[in-house]
Amino acid sequence: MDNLVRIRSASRAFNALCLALMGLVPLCLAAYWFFLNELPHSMYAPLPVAPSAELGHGLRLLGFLVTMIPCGVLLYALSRLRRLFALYREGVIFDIRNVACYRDLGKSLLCWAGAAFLQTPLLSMIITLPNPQGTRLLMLGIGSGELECLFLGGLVLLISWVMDEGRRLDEEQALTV
Amino acid sequence: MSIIVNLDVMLARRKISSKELAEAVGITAQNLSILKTGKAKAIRFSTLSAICRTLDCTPGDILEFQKDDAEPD
Repeated sequence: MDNLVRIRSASRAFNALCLALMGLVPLCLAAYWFFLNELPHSMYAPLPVAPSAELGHGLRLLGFLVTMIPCGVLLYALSRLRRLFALYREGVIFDIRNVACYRDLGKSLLCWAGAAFLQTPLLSMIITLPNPQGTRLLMLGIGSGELECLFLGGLVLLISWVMDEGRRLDEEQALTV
Repeated sequence: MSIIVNLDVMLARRKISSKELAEAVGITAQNLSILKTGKAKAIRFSTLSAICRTLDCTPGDILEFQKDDAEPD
């Protein structure tokens, strides 16, 4: 199979997957916070601290809004990925628009690390707010997830610079008569 | 760009259309347009020699160097 045909068909599939994720991720997040009190303890793993008492509607809404901060960054990254795959689907590979997608993707991964770092203290405050005074927590921490995001963000930014060089070469080749 | 392509002038002098030149040289009309509009970043010797042969001229009749104001002497 021709490489360009392979790129086009794979991009079509990835584009559809990104679109599905853009709808599913916030939906799952909303469902998670809505049914938080009914969930088994094993499902509290993504939270910085397990709630010791049932959380009211207001606190669960706040929790959802806080988790929507990194989720919003993720949605933006997915939208840029969709744009990139749409360009690949059209056969546009070395273009300034592709470079911009890679650059935005790298930056959003770096932002994601920042948003995830911010999420921990906010969530720990919200979850432990119903606790009696003296047992409320304010947690801070950097996990491997944040470090991975920083690493990947840097890597994707580097790829965007390499892609820009490739674009220049392609343009020069196209404009050589 | 300090290199000016005077292909339009030579085409008018020789009374040859762009389409005829593209066919004679063996390049696409789109590439000839890139050349004429000054968007070209480079020209192959083979293309230049084919143009010169068709228009019966030298590279100096087609390409002209124009010094930019900002360029040092």
